[in-house]
Amino acid sequence: MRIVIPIFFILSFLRSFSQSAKEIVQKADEKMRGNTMQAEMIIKTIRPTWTREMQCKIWMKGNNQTMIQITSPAKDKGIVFLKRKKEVWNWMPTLERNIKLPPSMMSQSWMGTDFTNDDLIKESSIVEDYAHSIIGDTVIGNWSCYIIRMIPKPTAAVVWSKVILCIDKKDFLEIHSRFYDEDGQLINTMNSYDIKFMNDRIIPTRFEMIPADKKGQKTEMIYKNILYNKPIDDGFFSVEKMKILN
Amino acid sequence: MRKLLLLCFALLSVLIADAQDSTAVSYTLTINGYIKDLQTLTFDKDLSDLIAGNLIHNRINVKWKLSEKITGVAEFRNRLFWGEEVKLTPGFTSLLRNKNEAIDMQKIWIENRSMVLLTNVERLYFDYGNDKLNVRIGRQRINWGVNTTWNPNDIFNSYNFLDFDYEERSGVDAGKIRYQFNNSFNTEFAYNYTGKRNGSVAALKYALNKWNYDMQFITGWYQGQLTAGVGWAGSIKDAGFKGEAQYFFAGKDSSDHLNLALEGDYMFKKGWYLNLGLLFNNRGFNRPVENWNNLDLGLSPANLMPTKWNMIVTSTKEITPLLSINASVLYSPGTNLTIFYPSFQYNIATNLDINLVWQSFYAEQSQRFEAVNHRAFLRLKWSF
Repeated sequence: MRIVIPIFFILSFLRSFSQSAKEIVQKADEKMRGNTMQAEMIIKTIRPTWTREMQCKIWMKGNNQTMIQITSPAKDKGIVFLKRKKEVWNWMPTLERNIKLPPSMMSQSWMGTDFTNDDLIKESSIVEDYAHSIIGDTVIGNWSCYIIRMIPKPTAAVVWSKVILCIDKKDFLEIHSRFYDEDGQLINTMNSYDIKFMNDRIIPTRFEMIPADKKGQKTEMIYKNILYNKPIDDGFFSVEKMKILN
Repeated sequence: MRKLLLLCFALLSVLIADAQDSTAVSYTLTINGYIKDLQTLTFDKDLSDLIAGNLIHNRINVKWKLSEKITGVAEFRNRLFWGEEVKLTPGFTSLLRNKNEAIDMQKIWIENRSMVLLTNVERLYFDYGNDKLNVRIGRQRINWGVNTTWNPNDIFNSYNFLDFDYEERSGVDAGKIRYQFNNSFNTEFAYNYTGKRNGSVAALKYALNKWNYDMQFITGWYQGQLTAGVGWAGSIKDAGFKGEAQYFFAGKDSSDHLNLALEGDYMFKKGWYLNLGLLFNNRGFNRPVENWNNLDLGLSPANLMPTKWNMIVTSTKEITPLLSINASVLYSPGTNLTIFYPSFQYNIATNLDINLVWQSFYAEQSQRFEAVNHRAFLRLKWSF
């Protein structure tokens, strides 16, 4: 179950920074997301003393429909998650059963950090819920970036007090992001690497999420391949389809 | 029996004929499974008298994709038991047979005083599916349950929730047809053949998704009794809320029967998960029982627990992504049956897991609340 959390989480960030210093963030958002997206990816959980790797396929349409199928390791192969609006189902191939997960599953701790996943579902409203402003420029590697600050609006139910993004000026790539809690403490840092031409656009293909207070810990997500804007029928995001994905 | 086989073949030939129309035919064969080593220690109530059991358990799952729409599946379960448990359990081998299976596809390779090696074909079916229709014929499991612990709606094949080493659970020889009207409404008909007089089950299920709830309605014929059931899975605020009820109408030789199970679950921060379950069995015992050593929890779909009222609390905590602990406590008022069931799971390497499981049974016997027995399990599992 925990496997799905970082994927949902990272994906939701990749596609949610539309607005504010708006056009910039919006362009970055459109770039990563497309109308639909299909991808194969590798997720590495890295800890000081061990590493585990997982591979999965993912299908996304808009903000509300996501399907994830685990393809390796062998013991988890064939597990499928479906998220449709606020409902989440989990297909367990060994049991041949679909289990509906409680909404609170989305707010569980993420990979052993204090990082909750609540925003995941609420993520789509991050656009309306934040006020964005350009606070400067920086250079990260070869990338000349805008620094954009996002502060949640008072009515917003967001766990972060502040999010800082660095977006490349030329290709509108999200190169670096930082997430701060209510006390202004840095909780997570996300870095993007391996910028390549994939399908029809230039995007970062490797992301790492680093919790601030856990030394030697991070989660990496790597796109093996990606396909944008290929139409996916709504019927694909169904409980029945989960059973026959393999 | 012969009729059933004939029907299977007739249907198969139709399916294969249809397959030839399909444009993109890809023939793929996938094989996966695991090998497990399970060491069991069974103690008497005073934790003294000890019986050891050993089991090497292998499962091989073969899936053959004949076309886009047609899949053939065969799953084999090979088990080697040896040691005191085999020696000291009367009729040990006969206990290993799934009595719901009409066709005997079990082969005993070795059987002597202290060792049994056997293979059972656990699944053997053909599946045809397009966007709307799905047909599955052969040995399969028909899972109509919604809850985690007790499944009154699982009228084709019940299971024993204490049997953690049998994740796939038992199957039946059956046919199943499902039609999906749209994303949120489908209907399913299933029939299982047990080869026994009045042993078959046939039922129809309507399933729909509305108001963020999965709901299902079941009506059918269960071993000579008319039955009706309802199940749901949804949420109250952030907690999951599920339930299943199944009623068996009184038949010629049988009395009516009701099973009702409710379940709520919640995922707390820092990896804490809590699940609360309740089962009401209107025919269950509600008074102390004398001989709990004969306790059988895998009773039947109509009788999921021998006791009337049952409550279970399960809590899981993920210590690290590799290590998790789990503890369940079951309590049945009236009989004062109590089961304490903790376990640890550790992922040693990518496909290698180790489990340590404990089960303690307590109950009121001769007006005293005391232990019945205790079991400890150590399991190593390698998946491929």
